[in-house]
Amino acid sequence: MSLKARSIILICLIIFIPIVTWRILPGLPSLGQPPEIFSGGTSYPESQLKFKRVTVGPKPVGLPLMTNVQILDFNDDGQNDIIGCDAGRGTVSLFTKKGEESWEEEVLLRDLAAPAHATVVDIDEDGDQDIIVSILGNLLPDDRVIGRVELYERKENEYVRHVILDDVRRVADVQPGDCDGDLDLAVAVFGYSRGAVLWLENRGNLQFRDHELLRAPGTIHVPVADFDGDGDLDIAAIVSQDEEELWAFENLGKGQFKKRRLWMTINLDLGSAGLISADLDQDGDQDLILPAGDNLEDLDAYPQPYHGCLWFENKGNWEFEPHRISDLGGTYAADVGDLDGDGDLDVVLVSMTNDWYDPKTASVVWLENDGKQNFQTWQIDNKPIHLVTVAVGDLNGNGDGDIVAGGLNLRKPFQRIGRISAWLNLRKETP
Amino acid sequence: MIKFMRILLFLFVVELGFCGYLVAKRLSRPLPVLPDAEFVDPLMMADYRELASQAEKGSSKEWVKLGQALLGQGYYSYAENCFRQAVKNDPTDGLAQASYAFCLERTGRTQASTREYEKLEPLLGKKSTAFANKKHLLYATGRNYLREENAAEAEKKFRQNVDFQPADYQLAKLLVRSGQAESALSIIERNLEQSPRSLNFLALQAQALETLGRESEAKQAAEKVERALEIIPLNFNTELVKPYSVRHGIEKEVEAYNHLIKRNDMDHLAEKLEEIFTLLEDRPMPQYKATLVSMIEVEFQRKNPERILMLIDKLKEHGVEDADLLQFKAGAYILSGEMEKAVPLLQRVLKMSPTIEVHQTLANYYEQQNDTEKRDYHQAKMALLYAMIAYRNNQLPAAEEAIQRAVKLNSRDPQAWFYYAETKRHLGDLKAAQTAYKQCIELNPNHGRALRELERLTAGKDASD
Repeated sequence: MSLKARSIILICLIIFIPIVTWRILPGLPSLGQPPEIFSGGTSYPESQLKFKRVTVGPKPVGLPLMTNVQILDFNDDGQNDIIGCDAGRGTVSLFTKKGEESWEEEVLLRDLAAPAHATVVDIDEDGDQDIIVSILGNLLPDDRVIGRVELYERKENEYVRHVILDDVRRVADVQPGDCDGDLDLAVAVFGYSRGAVLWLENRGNLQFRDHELLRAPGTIHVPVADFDGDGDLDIAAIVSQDEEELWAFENLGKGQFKKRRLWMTINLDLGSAGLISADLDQDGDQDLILPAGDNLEDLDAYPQPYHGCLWFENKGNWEFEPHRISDLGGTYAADVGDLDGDGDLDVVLVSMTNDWYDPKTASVVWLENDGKQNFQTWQIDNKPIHLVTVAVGDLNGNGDGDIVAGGLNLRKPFQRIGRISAWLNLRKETP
Repeated sequence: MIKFMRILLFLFVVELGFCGYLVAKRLSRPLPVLPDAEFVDPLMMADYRELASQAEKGSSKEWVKLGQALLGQGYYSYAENCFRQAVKNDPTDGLAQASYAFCLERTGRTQASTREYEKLEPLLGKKSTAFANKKHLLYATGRNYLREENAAEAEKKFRQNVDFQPADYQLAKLLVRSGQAESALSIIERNLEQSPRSLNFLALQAQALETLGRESEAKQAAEKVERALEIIPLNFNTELVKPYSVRHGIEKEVEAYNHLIKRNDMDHLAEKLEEIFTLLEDRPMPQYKATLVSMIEVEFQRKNPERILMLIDKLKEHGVEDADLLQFKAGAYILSGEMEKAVPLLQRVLKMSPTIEVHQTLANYYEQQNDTEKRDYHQAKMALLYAMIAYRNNQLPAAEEAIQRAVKLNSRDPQAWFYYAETKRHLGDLKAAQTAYKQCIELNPNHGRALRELERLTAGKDASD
């Protein structure tokens, strides 16, 4: 090839190479590996004890905002029913079983401003079930004086409304207990920046006198039980927000209580989400179980490594030893029951904010108790998500613990949405 | 000719090398990772794809933009990846570095987050915005140590951040909880000099004083908490994330609507809302309810009751039934002149969420009906609600004026007498307070707070400020 021809080829190459490069460059794929995306979500081995998920009541529409579910025999027919509080619709409903796996909804109470909890109790001791509703006034953060305790007195076939506590901030829980010879009420005023624990002394004729036990923001639940084994009922309370403290109010008799801080953490983001009492180790005293995983203060919540469940073992003399028994991200509620029929108490937890962008992460788990309070976590389901309330009880009359949970669909993703779901225990049907 | 050939050859090699470098760089470029489309609203996903394609070709700034778009919707781990890449491209980009540390923090990796926050120190300016100055950085690391329950390190960080009120608050709180209430009090009092009505510091002061057994002073501080309105921000997460959350997807459209509100052109607003509603396509999102509510408000201004009732039905179908909805429905009936339908609805609203506005509407209605008893009842409630607001805003003279009106209009309301007593007590008129507490108790013998305060006054233990 002549020098001239070579020159021409080179000139052509010099012209074309940048043009070709310029043309093909944008279309070239990346050969690099996409970086791994971190997930702080938690998932567990699939439960060997099988459950069947069913929808309770009508199919969910929109974004249901359930705040509480309970299993109890409301109409005294020997079969357990479900009571649910719906803050979106402002109702308290009864779900009664119709057929093998379906429940019919009957709205018992309406026009409730964001009900947080319904306490079914025969408060006037006239032989029928009255309902005491904890009224938030607003589901979302609000520090105004908009809470109430409304008592719905059962009279024949209707409920008569009595406001028994007014002029308080958002009320999250009311629990009954005989503190002085009749049925009194412990009240958790959640508020927002300001809250309180109150005791409502029953003065007869559906009249109650309020007594303040503690001022603290974000009081969620107030379980009532005989924590010190002295024969009278005491009150426990979990204070959330940035406080994260567990309190007890020892009943000294004659309407006097001694407040005791049982536990606290400086972790301002722990996210205490509830408190229940149960004798988890079955040693004859009442322990406390604390689900933790609320971080609704963020626009978008995320599971944290310190979320999960704490069991406070009652060691006597007002000493409660904390044991971390679960790390379920976004844990929002807990209940106990013997799910596997081995005679000990297991724990069921639900999550409001696991890493829902990873579809494997758990929304319902149970913690199998080996009888010595060593717990193995089993995943029951990954949907529906955004679960904030759970109850364990026998729904189908076969003697096994079934599960009911409710969804508060406030945060993304707006998928796998549920209102009330049940998981029927298939232990006796599994070969 | 040979010389020319050599020049050409040299140019060819240089060009080949450079283009080869560009190709290699292109082939090995980092890829933005987006969340699975299944979990993202379609409108948002379209924006993400566009931003991702810009980031792929672009510099640190494009990666930051994509990171912010992801962070704004809570895709923390995906955003983290973008900010990490942005920092890699431009290690002097303080915003990218702070955002990277923030994503680590929100995904629970506090130790890694603290390390990344600490790298920021030389990059930070004096901006007062969240996470953009040394005070915020120290505060964020202090909070990380609190999450790790490392009290000693947290205290150290807060002590390095003197005069930053959130840090002072956390430090004082740590001290109160660790039995050093006396030391905490000096920090609390310094801050209260600056912000005398700070809810946070007053509540902490009450706790500290109670811990020290100074009951009467604790009670005084606690009383002030009730009427304190100033809240120190203790969590800056929303401040950082909120602006990013309205830049894309449906939120961007909602934000555009919010800007249009100022124009007060109802037809234009209705058009924009219709556009947003079409975009939502019945997807279950909170914006669905919010848009319908805005549509109702606009139709109210346009005096279109039929359409309001139709929109209310849509909300009901979406599972929403609250006091606002009842009030809207009543509003529609008022517009169409059907007061007899509106009144029972407004009475239901009052049972759920009493407001001055609803009492006012009913007072006007009963005035027209010449029913003075009911008119006075609602006017008294209006005055009481006004007094309660003024009382909690610590505007005691305004509260006093309103509460006097309330008891004059309805002397059978124990709640009104309670606030009358409270206001008088805080204004120093203890005798009037005592009489009013007694009135309250006479009407409601179980009013716990009135009973307690009366007992205190009788025993000469007034805690008013």
